[in-house]
Amino acid sequence: MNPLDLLLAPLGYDFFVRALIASALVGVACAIVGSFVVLKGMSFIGDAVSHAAFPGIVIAYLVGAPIILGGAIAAIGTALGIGAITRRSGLRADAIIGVLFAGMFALGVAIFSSIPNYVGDLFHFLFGDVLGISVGDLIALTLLVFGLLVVLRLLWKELLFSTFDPLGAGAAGLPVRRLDDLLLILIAVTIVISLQAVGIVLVVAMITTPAATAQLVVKRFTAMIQVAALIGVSAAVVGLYLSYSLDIASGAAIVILETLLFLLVLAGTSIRTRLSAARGAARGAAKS
Amino acid sequence: MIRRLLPLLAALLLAGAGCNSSGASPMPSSATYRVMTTTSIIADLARLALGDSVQIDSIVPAGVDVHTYEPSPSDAAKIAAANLIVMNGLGLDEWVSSLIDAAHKGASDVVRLGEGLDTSDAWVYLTSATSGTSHAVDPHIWLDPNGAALYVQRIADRVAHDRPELTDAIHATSARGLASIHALDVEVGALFAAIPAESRKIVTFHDAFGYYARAYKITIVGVAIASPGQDPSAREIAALIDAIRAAGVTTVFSEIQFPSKVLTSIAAETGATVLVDLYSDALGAAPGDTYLGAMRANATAIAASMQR
Amino acid sequence: MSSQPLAIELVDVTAGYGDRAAITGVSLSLAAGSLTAIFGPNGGGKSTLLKCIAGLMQPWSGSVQVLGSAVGLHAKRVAYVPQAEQVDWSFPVSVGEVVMMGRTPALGPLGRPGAADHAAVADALARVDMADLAQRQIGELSGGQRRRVFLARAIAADPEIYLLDEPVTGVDPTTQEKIMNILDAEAARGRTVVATTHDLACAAQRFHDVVALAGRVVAHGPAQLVLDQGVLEKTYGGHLVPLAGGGVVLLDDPHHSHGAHEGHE
Repeated sequence: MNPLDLLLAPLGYDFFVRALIASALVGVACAIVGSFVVLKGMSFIGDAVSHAAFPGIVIAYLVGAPIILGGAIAAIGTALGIGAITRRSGLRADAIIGVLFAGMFALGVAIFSSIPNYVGDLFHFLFGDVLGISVGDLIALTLLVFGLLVVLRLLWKELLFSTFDPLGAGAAGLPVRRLDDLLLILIAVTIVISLQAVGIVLVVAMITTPAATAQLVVKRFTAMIQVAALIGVSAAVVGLYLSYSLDIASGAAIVILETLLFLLVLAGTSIRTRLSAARGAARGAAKS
Repeated sequence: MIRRLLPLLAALLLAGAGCNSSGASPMPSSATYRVMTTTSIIADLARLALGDSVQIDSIVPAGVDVHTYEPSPSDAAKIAAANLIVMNGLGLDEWVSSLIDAAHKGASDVVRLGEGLDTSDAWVYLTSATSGTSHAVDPHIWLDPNGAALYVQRIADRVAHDRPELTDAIHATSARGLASIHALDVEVGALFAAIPAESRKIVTFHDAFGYYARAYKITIVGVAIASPGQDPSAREIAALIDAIRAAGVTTVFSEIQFPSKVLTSIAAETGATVLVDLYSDALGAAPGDTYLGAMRANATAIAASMQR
Repeated sequence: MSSQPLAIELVDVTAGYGDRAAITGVSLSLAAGSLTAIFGPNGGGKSTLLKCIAGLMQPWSGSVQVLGSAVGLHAKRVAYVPQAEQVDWSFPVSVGEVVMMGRTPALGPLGRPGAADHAAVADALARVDMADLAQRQIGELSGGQRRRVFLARAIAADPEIYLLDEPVTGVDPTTQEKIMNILDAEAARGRTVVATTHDLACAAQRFHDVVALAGRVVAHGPAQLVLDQGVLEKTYGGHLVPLAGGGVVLLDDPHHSHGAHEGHE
């Protein structure tokens, strides 16, 4: 089978094309918010919010409300709650947050296990179900990414300043606390909408890994976001094709690719650092 | 305060120990004979066989999937209180074995309806059409009325053996039950016979309708998932879409116990129209709350889709 | 004191962290065009005082007025330069981008940098002698250069009040000279400059006025006060060590228990 066929054959199916677009959009959205998350050292928030969304999803299912709405309420509430706890408790926030989100997730599992039937649609939130993405889901994803980019464009300098130097920004009159909360809400919404594609367990990787990789190679925040987004999209597309050929879960394939890339880049940059240090030492020795 | 509560607590505990959740002691007296089945369909077949001379109940409630069912402690109590446990076997409901062991009951307390039917050439087994399933033999025997009839006969024979005094009543009831099943078979057969062969094609959710298809000469173009609880891979979905398009199937069936987004998107992509719920492993609401009602509803829906 | 209008006025301000007060009953009036150094021991409340003026901390009691109004109202006309330790130097931003942040108040919520802003940034960089380093990532700068970048950010904001937390602590004499020249020029233009410092020599030589702060205002007056032994004793207490031939030595390591008292949380 020639390589072009391998690329084009799956595109003949609507479900695959939707899955491809959805994965790419999720990759971009997660990479963008992930850049802020990584620079602010907030990776644990991604994990906490994604797990805390689960009871919201399950309860929404039980009462017949839109599942995404339930997840969004739980996620946003958790994110803002984490912001408040962190401001109040500083370093001790870590333990408090860990306890809370584990408890919320357990609540979700307890309710989920009490439903007598096998609810595949809820189970899919744990690991993602990108093959079942509907046109409606795709529209929501597109709106999310568009909204993210608009907010970023409008508030770029404010977000940059308050992320880099909250004290200086606050003194200059910027509403640092509100900007922090806005960022938390953006992170929460991105996580909830990405859950359908990659699931609760893996979404934190989609957020953290591309940004962490980009941080290793660029020196500008704008470049970091762009590189992270590029990694997110590429890993999503290649990962989906891989999952098609190898019959493995697509979310896992994407995350594995992103992780491998991170390790490669990490190895590359540390080799480069070591080489330049060695060259510097050699020059120093030659001079003396 | 605690001292006054203690006698009350003790009394409550003793009362609780004296009755279990089903309200009777494990060794029944001349009181009602209790039959506990795994699925709601088997329970209804048991009713066709035995009438109301015995007490019949099922562990898996109506509308709930039997393949992925996880028994709870109260189910264990129900098993312990039963005189006879009626299960399908052939891998469909093996989860009940641990409950049976826990209740210290043995093989003599259990009827495995689906197993050993081929000894007298009364039945020919099919293998599961899709590969990689946990059981090689297709267990969905009851969906062929002839298989259901064998089930009814087996249940009747066993209970009559256990309760000789009920033999006459059971004999009369089961005769009526078998007659209704036979009438159903004729009715459905006529319904499908009126449809040309090339239109007799369906796609179902899971691989439950092998015997049904054999009985009524229907072609199963494909199934959405190989085994309940496992998602189809992208290539499996692609293959199913190709098969549906090639066969020109117009309806894709879900089943009442499985909600699914995958099936919805497959139907949308192939232009197949309505998703209709078929009864396979479980009963549901009326008219699907009895075996006969469920089978008639299935036949009507399937025949209608074939003629579109 | 000068007859200029009051730029900063504190009346009986008490503030702190948790349940510990860092400053108590502080009353202070600073006129426009003043160039004031706040000195005192670690834990004496210097950073706390500055943060109260900047609006970064709420005083527990008392009032803070900046440019005639409640603090925070005129935040755009105040530039705050934090201590060097409190900045994330690995953040991927360039020198030019940091200085442009100073233009944020001037740009307003939806504004995007225009020609005037780029000119202001270039100007500010030129004044701190860092025009050719605009594209450098801040992590690649020396200590003195880092200090100058943040000063440039403040200059780019064209504020009426400069609040600088330890602007010359730990920098080489050349950089110190450059920074003080700029602050001098700004004060001469009528801007109000307030800086905290450990460097008593610099305070005495380069500032117009000083405030001795040890939880309370010990003294506030012309810069020579720094050399007054009585003031020093009241301010530094046990940190002063008398020398055999007369005179005293001040033992006050600027990095001692940094973060445990001031400027943390």
